[in-house]
Amino acid sequence: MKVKTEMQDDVAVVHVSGKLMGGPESENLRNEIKGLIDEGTKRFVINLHGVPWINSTGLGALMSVYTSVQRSEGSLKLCNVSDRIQSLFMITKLLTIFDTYPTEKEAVEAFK
Amino acid sequence: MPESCRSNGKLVLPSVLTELEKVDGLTLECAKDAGLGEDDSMMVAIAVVEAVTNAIVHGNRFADDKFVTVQFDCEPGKVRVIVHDDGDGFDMSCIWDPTSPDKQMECSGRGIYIMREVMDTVEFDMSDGTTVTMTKAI
Repeated sequence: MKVKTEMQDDVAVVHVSGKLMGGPESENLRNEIKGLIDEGTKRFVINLHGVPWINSTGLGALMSVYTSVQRSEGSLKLCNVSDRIQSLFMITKLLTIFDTYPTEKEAVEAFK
Repeated sequence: MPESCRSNGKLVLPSVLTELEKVDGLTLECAKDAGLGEDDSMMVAIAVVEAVTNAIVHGNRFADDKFVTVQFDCEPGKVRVIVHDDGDGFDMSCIWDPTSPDKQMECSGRGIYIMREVMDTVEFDMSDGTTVTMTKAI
């Protein structure tokens, strides 16, 4: 799994690609978000364009970063969520937790 | 609907999460071969990936000397998948509802809930390791 961040004004857009299925690789995402929080970033968009599917362990990794951002009084949005991941959000009722947008542009603009 | 299914068979996997991609692909193939639609096939794949994740992480605890077996028994209109690990089993009374307000923010504990939500039947046998038998029909 690869994680790459670009700043768009004060919004950190975190591009994730590969399989988000737990294990040591999920630590990449957690560490990236933790580092950005430590630097003072408050606004996050996680772009899941490169993630075709995840399992419940990957869901746990997303919950973990969501909680970290909330605790730092920041805000997190998701974009480009695949149909399969969206189904998983629906099954687990996490659609009420995660703020999701069809595109990166819409997610970033939602902060303005 | 096909008269017979070509993708029946058994898969023996090491206890590493990178095997999940292979499991996902074969499950989709099996479900489609049995005549399930795209959405139902995706649901079966979601459930089997969860069962194998549990087997690797919680059952075999990533042990090099323990394996996960996935058996596909498909017939026209119905899929049955059996996932077995060599672990010590688990206490079913410790399974919670991850959608309840006090558990919704937890980072784990959703796997079995997902399997039960998307499959028609999910049964556990912990007499020798853990064996999960799941079925879904059209």
